[in-house]
Amino acid sequence: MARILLVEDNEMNRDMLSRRLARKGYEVVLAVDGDEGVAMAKSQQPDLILMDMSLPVLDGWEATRAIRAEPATRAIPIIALTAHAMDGERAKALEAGCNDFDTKPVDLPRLLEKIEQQMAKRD
Amino acid sequence: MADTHPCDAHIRHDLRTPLNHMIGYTEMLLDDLPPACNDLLSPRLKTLLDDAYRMLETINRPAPMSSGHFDGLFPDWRAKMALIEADFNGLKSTIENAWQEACPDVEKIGSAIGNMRALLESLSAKPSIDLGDARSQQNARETATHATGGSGHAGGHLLIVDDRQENLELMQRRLIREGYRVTVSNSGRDALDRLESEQFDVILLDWLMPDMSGTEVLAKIRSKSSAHELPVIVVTARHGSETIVDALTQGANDYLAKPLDFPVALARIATQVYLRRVTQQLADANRQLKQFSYIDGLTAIANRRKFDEYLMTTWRRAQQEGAPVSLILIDVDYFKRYNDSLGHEAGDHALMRVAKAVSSSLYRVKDLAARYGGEEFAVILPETELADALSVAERVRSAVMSLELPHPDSTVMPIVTASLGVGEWRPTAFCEPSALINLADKGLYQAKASGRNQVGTLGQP
Repeated sequence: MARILLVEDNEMNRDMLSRRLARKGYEVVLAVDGDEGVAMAKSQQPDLILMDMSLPVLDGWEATRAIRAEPATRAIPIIALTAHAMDGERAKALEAGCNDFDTKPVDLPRLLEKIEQQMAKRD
Repeated sequence: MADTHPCDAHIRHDLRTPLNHMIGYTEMLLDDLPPACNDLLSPRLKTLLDDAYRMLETINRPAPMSSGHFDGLFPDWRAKMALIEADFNGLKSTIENAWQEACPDVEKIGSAIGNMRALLESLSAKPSIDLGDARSQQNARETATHATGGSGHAGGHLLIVDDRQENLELMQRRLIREGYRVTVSNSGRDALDRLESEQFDVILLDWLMPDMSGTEVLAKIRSKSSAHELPVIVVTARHGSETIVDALTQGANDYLAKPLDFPVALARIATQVYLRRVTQQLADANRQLKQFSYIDGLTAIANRRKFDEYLMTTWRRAQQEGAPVSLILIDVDYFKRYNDSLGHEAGDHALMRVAKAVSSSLYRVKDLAARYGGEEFAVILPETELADALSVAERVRSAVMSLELPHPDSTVMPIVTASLGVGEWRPTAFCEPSALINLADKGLYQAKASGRNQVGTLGQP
């Protein structure tokens, strides 16, 4: 069973997305801020990370850079989630080291497709 | 959808968050719906979902102008919100009887709707969700955005120095509305005092003040901070080119004429804030790049570029002081065979270990270990005579051997070893460092010719 680390500060978003992913057969582990996200990436070794970009303590871009800088977590695919659909958000996420990008509100089928794509690349 | 405006984008984002929750939980309920309740609840859930998506359309629709009264930008929000609430109340009472397990999630939908209502009311209560005189502000913003390369004005801490209270208050109010932090000061002396203890991004300095003139204040500022570090925009009522040229030659970054044309002032302030920020980032990046450009990617010791530069500086200093310079060239024995028999990954690993052994054999800060070429390393020893250089070389040779890295194909020993050449030179005025390199190279050749894993030298020239 694939393990997904969801880094999201908003309680409702976290609850909702984790339950929906769990229902699709993923094991979901949660982190509530960027700092915890970086630590969990290392300790839990997830198959994929869903990273909200506007996070407290350490934001998603910084957390992504930290994960990419750490040899133990460098190869884990990261999908950035942002509520801003502005141009440049995507580039900014990819530049930080994210593998893909999706906007909130989450379109579950679309997000699942992106998750599967990243998992397939990794296998 | 196109978010036209950073401020606009934030409002839309804040509105989408509760909608996002509403949609998500409603969809989950639909997914989980027990077959027994399907007929009863499915249409109601779908209706609520539909309402939410319509509201989302409204929020995402690009407004004709990015500023103005909220109700003007989203004219139909009240009707849509009322529909959402009515449909939700209907759903809630039905679900409470039919499917009790769903109640916690229904509560969450309810609180998301409540949040959205509160947010919409608060936006609607504001006279304008952007700024009052929409057109000219909008133009100013566009100009500023253009000037800052599309990033919008980034905020920042401004210091306004002006002896006239009414000028200060007006500027302060308008700039705060634009998102700046603004500190005001009514005299040059007071401004200089503030600069001692506070950090500013840009200073707006009135040129004509009674106690201490703008010229004097600017001179004091520039004696401590350069135009890159602390931009100063001079504000002057005199339109003559003489004043402007004076101000600019004395270190002002830009000027503004009184009475102020606010959109122009805004654009120029934004430009200075942006330039200062970019200049700082560039300086940081350059420092970092410079560091990286001197380091060998594999072994993390100095690279050839650093070696060349350091040898040249050492050489020049030695020329002036009449001091000796010694150089050690180090070659890993039969390294090609090592790679061939154990693979390139093992080869890389061995080079990293050897580099470490070389650099940790040096005890003085001024000594430099560098990767010279593929499997060649070099050590520069400033102010060092041959005898001392030879003992350093011997230390390096034995450190490499002590690594005990197995080298099955070596004819010297079954472990990784190195051959070393040493030279010493007292550079005279017209002689170049290549002479020392050649000398050390000949020593290295001798070490190899006599069976490797040893230190060779031709002695002093």
